[in-house]
Amino acid sequence: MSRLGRILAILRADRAGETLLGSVCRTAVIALGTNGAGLTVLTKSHRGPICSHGEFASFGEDLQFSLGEGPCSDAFETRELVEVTDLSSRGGERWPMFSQAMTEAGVTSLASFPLRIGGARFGALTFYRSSYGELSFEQVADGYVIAQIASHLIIAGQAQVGEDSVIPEIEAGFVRMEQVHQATGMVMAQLGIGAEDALARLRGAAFGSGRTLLDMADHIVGGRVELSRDG
Amino acid sequence: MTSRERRVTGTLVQLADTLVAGYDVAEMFYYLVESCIDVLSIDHAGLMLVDADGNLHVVAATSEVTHLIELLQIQNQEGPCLDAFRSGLVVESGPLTDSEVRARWPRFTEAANDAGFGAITAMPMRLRDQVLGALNLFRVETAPLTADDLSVARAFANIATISILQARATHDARTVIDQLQRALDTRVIIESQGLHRPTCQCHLGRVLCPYPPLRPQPQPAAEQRGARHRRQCAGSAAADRNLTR
Repeated sequence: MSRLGRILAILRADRAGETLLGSVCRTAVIALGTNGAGLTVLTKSHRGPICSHGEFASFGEDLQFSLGEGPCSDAFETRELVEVTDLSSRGGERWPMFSQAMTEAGVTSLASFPLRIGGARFGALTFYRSSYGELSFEQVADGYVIAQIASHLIIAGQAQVGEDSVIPEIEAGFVRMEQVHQATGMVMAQLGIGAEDALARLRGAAFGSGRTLLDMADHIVGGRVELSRDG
Repeated sequence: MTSRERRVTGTLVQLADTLVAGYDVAEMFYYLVESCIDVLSIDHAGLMLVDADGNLHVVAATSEVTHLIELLQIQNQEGPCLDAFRSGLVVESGPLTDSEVRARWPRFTEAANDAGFGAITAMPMRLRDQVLGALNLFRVETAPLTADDLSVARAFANIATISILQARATHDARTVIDQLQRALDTRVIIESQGLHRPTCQCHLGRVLCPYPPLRPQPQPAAEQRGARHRRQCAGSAAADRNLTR
């Protein structure tokens, strides 16, 4: 069976209760044999985790969102596969905070495939592993095919829902991140700063207090925490 | 590697790059015709491509006169370039002073002769049975292109054709991708601006009330976009429920 055929067979099997992109993430995990995989949509200024499957992935995608650093933005920027095979020693220069947190959680390697159609880029498919070593040729080839499937599914879905909405999986992702954006708005108003600065302050405060960004945002929106002007 | 081999390879690499990275299609058209006169034994080149309605347009030419001659072919519906486009085959004009050639394309040969050209080779821009247009190679010499030049020209035309087809497919996808990205960026702004202008409805008013606004109920996407979120502050909600803090 061809590579595409084999991958589609995994995608179609046992989909009970899964969203289509959720099935793609499951397929990614099964095909490559990694611990977990996640999908994130990115623009030049923002990112939105969509869904994930397996170990480490939900945490990893949210963490990249929280910290604003990680392999998915590198894959998005370069439009190429970004792979780190020993996160504790090799990830530190690129993503200091992210690598530390991921290593502590038990992730040893990462691979992030860009989501793109031609030169137009819009996200990343990231694999999380607790084993060492590079992905094999077969794994990389499968990864590219799955990233393409994800890319085309997202864009075909987006083309169908039209200009004023997004596909349900992405909508669900946006809703999850809503509190972060609301908290951003509050910080903007409270400190009189712009959106990117406010988000940076939020991220810093979250990291500094050992919270996830989502958690920090929840505290801000709930009025339990207010960021001061000095920090 | 000879100088010419280097230039041929260089052009092929540049053209192949357009398959991988984002690029400006119009720039590639000019790059293609300029590369042809740089590498092949010809004097000028023109490129015509067909649009979605089936009409040919001159998209690049290495001189004004060349551009004009290409345009004339389209307007008069006559010329070797049109024949190449219609047939999907390479068309060698033969010496433009020949009576047979002049009989075949009278208006074209007159214009081309006036411009000082001796012969033209028209190469279809083609992928299997899809013909996008024609790459036209003008020269003062009347002899046909060498076999070498022909195969190089064919290689250039083929890669350019694939690249254009891919660019068109990408263009359609890009429009949708832009929508998706706008949706993400806008959503961030709307969500953050919603709280920027809270509407507090308690007796203290927005400026004095210390309570944060309540989170809005989930709404269908269409209503969220561009809409002001009307919120009550926690204080007025508490007052409504006769609760104290």
